Amino acid sequence: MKKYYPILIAGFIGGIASVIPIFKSLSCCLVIPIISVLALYFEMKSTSRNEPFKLKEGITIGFFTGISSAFLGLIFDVFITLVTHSNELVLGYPQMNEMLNTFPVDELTKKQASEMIKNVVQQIQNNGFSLTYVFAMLVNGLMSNSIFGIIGGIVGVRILNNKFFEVE
Amino acid sequence: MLKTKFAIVLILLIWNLGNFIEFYIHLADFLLFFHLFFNHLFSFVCHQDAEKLISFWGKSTLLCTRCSGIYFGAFLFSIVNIFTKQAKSIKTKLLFFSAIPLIFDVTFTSFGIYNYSKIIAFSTGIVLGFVGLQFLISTIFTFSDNGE
Repeated sequence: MKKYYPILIAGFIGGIASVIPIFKSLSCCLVIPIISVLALYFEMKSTSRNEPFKLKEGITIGFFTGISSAFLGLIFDVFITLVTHSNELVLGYPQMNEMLNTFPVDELTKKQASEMIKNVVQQIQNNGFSLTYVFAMLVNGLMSNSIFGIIGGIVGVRILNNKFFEVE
Repeated sequence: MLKTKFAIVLILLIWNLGNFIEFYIHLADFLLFFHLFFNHLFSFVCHQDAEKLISFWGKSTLLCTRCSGIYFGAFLFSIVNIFTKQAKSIKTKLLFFSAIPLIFDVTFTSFGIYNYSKIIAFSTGIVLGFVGLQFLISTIFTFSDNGE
C-alpha cells in the first residue's frame, strides 16, 4: 500500500484543487500535469531513489495520479453538492439551455437533451445528488485527468531527471 | 523522423479544425456527425464554458479561448518543427516562464483585478502551447533516442 502513497497524496491535492474556484479554471491544462510532477517527486523522495526515472515510469505514475485525482475530486464535489444542493450545473443551467438552442440538431433532440439536464438539475436541487451527474463527471474526469496526467508524467520525468540526476 | 513530424502536424490540424467546426458545418450534412464527435471529445479536455468560447458571426469554437490558444500554439510549433532540426533539449525554465503569463491571467481574472479578456487568454494559451509541445516532443525524442 505504501508504494501508492505518492499517487494518492498527489491525487488528493489534485482533488481538492479541482473544487477550489481559481484552481478549477486551471485544472484542465495545468493542475493535473503539476500534480503528476508532484507524484513523481514524492515517489523519488519516499523511495530514496538514486537513479533517473524512465519514461514509462513517468507515464504510469502520471496516468494513475490523474485517475486518483478524478476519483477524489469527484468525492469532494459530490460531498459539497450534497451539503449545498447546488453546483456548477445548477448555476449554469439557464445558459446551458440557451447554448442548447444554438446546436445544429433537430428540435426533438434538443428537447430530449433539455429534459434530461432539467431532471438532473431538479434531482440535485431536491436531494443534493444525481447518479447521472456523478456518472457523467466520473467518465469526464477519468478521461481528461488520465490524458493530462500522462502529459504531466512525461514532463515530470524530464524536470526531475534534469534537476536531481543531472540527465539532459 | 520527418514522418513523425508530419503526423504530429496532421493530428493537431484535425484537432484545430474540429475546434472551429461550427464555422464550416453548413458546407456538408455529414459534418454534423463530426460536430457531435468533437464536442464529446473536447468535453474531456476542456470545461467548454459558453461565455469563454471564441464567438463571431453567431458561431463558436468548441474549446474555450484559453484551450483554443494552447492547441493553436501547439499546432504552430508542429509546423515550425518541420523546418527546424530536432531540439534535443530545451530548458525546463523556459517551460515555467511560458506558463507564468497564463497563470497570472487566470489569477488576475479570478480575483477580479481585470475582466476576462479573450485576447489575453488566447495569447497566453498560444505561448504555453508552443513551448509545451516543444518540451514534450524533445523529451519523448530524447528518451526514444536512448532506446526507452
